[in-house]
Amino acid sequence: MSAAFGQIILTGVTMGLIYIMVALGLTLVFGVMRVVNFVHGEMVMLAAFSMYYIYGVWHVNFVLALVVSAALVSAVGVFFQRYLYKPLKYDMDSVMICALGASYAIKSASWLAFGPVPRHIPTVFPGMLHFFGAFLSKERAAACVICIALTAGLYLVLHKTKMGKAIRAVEQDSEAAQVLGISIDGVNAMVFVIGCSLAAVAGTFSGILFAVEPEMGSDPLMKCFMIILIGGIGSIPGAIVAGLMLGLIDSFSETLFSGEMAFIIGFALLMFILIVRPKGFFGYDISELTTRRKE
Amino acid sequence: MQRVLIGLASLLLLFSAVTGASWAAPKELVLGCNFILSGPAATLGIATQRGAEHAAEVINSTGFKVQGEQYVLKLEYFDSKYLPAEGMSNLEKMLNHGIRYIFTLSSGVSVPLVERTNMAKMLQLTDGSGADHLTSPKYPLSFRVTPNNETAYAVYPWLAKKYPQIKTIANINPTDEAGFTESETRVRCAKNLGMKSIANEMYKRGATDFYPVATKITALKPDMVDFGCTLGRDQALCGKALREVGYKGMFLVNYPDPGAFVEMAGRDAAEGAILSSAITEPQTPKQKELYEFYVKKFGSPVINKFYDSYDPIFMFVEAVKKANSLDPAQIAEALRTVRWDSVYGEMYVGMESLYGIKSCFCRPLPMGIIKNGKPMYLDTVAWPSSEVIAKLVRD
Amino acid sequence: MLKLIQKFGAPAIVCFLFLAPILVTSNFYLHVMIMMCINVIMATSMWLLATTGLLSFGQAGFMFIGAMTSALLVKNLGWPFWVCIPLAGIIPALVALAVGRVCIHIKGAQFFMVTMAFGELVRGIFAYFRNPFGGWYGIINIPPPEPHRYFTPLNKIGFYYLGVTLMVLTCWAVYRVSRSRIGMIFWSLRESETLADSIGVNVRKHKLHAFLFAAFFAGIAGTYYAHYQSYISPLVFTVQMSLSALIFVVVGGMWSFGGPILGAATLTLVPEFFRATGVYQMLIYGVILVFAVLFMPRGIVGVLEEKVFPLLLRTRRAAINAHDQP
Repeated sequence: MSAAFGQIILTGVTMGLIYIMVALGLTLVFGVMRVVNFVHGEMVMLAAFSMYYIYGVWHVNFVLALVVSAALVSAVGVFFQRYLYKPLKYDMDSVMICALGASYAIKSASWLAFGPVPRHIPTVFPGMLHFFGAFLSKERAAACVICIALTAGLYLVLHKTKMGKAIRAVEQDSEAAQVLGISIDGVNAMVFVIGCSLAAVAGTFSGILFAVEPEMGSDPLMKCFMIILIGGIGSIPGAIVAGLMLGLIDSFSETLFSGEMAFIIGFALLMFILIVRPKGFFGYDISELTTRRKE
Repeated sequence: MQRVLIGLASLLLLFSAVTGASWAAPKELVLGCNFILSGPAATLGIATQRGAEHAAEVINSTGFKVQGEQYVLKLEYFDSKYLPAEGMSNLEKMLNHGIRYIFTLSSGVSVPLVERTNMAKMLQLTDGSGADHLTSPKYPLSFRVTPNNETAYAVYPWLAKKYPQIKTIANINPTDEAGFTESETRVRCAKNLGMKSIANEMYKRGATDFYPVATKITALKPDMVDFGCTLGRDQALCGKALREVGYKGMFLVNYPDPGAFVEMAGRDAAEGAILSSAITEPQTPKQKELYEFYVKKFGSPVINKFYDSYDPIFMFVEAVKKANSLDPAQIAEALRTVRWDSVYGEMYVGMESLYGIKSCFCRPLPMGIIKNGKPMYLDTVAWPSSEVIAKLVRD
Repeated sequence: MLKLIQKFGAPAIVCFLFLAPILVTSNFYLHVMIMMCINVIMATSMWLLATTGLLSFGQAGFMFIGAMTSALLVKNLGWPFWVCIPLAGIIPALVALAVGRVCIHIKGAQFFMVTMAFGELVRGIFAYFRNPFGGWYGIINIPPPEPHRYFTPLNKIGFYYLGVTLMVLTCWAVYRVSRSRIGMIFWSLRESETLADSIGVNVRKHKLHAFLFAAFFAGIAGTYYAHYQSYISPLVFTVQMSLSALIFVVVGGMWSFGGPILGAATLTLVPEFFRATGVYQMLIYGVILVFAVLFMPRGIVGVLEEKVFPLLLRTRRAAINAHDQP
């Protein structure tokens, strides 16, 4: 029984880390630009398809394929930022609807372009690991390691590099940052590039662990928003804690009860946490968000 | 406020434009297709569309005669998006176009329609489960065009005979109407054949991580895991997860997508999986021809749903020819007497003993097995007789 | 001329709606109008809540509660529909009271998420309990309103008039509230909550009232849906549906009363043009949304106010000038 318990925990942690990988890019964009970027899921999906073709079908080197996919998806992301979000002045409601429409369109176009067969990115690390009676495939372990590395990397970039500091400045107060000479447009574009690159990695691993298909981006998206809000907007440590917590809760309730009960428990818990602590674990007070909406 | 009212006035103009749109229809027999063409279940819908389209092409190469006049079959496609309300709107649109025959996919979308189609005297052909909510004497114009949960009545007796070492089964199904129907059917069949269903797991459709379910099932060590009506990607991911957490028993995959299953679950995980009602290696000339057509047009692998929607179109047209009429009620009566040489073998309308009226298309089931990463032909199961079915459904 | 429209516009529209079935006998267009009525009710009630600055993402949950209440009461207990319809509004409002008590202090994106979680929670609970909520099967064969003769699936006139009546009542209620003192308070909450608080407005109480109001009408919309479609299930009342209500409000224009009505009406009608395109319907819809938001940042009402009406004014002025010229 302890082996099953160990398995549940291991599953929970890996599930959480995979959600976090998708959420990282999203929380960055949400924190800096305060927009609900619904197309993030589609970035994950497009990157996965791109990896499928470049790495899976044409057998290009994995790292090179990843870089190319990240670049492709970042280009799409920056396109959205410049020609869709910026003209809308980052107004939360309009951007949300615009992104939603774009995500429907991209999904439909993908069904048409790629067809109905679910695909799979060939695994880079075949084989299984055993820990105290619990099983973990090497590819899951790799995904976890990469996620931790990415999170640490992102944290370092944000806190130790000049660009990171500029991003954080814009996140905290964009007007003051402008006064200091920081280009908001440049920062926004950079944030999108980073966000989409993170999405590309997340898409790659989702495609290896699960399946590559046009709907793959939307499923984790809701979970990611939950993570971001529970953890606190713009807070990376918050996203980690929330993601792990959510992964463990999902794993426990699905294994011990059923998928449906897990569904209910997840949302009940989300409500509870948001009621008790609306700004999330590590977030700051976002009441400015509502006053920012101008005529 | 006044601006709003002008706006409303312009809207009314728009409304009358919509009203004014005309939909002239030449000498065609129109079959309205209510498929799922977007959203997570689009795989099913697109594969079904391909099958139906090809069938229509073949039929229209010669056309057919009704009451001395030459007709072609026209398929009009509507996207139900797996939402009952959209399915209903599609039905209304079809009625508005004067369409009298509907081919609809998935019980979730089709069961809400059946009351209306029968009231409107439309012929409803459904590919979905729905049990007696869909096919019953109350709805004489409603047919199920491929066996869904009914396949269990053929497959389980075959399993019991061919693999007597199977004593315990674990059932996995998604939590929706089809899933519940399948699980009920299969658990009952197992019980009435001397096997035991030791786990009846329902997972939420859309879940990507199957480790929790797999862990639970593996802990119970069943001889066989029956995937029920999990589809496509979910089957593969679940199978993969089961093998990864250490499950060593057999798999039974229904509604299979053999190519995707092998690719996504991995060769080792898929080895030995039994594929229920799957055309793996084409055995007959008909199967070969269809297989080659699909591969040439869309590339391999073939999604099995493609075969499922092909023959029902022919059955329908045969019934039209036999009835020599466009009246849905007469076509329905004729349909009950049609015997068609389908890609699977002889296809006819039956299941009167179960549903009280001949309403479900019956046919042989080709069984496959995956060996060395390749789906291969295993056996053909004939459709069970009513005595066998009666034994399987008793409480 | 504008004054004429101002005075007689609304009654004229309502008259047209009531007389329309004489001109339009096709069942399909009645069906579209019925769905439009449901969407308008959802959109306007959501709009009233939005005037306080709260965007609720859980309206589908309240719709589901309303639908379930009346479906169970009419189908299982045999109560008459007309008794159940007000209940179908009151029960969700009571639930909203309970939920709102604890949630209403939450702001912005968090409130969005909490209401979404609530909507999904409702769905999860109804899905989990097969008895009596029907689980994932849902509830089929919900009886239509009495007298059954006038409310059949094939004869939609009864449903149409019921829908139009409900829609007109909802719009009238929302209009009156938004123009009343309470409506002004709602607006002030959106503009600046702190300021409103400082002049003695009970922020929480008013937000809660708006929330109850929206839930009540969502319940009414839900029950109308249930008895028209005669089938409800967790597949129906999803996040997607709540999102649709939001889309109607934003695309129509959040800043005026006509906005949600226009948004709901247009976005119900326009996809119908593309229904027969099959696979392309979603694609076209997505593209329309993108362009709608890009080119109409203040919604359809914004475009009308900024472009169409000045044009009309200019032509009127030109006509007057032409008349005055010798």
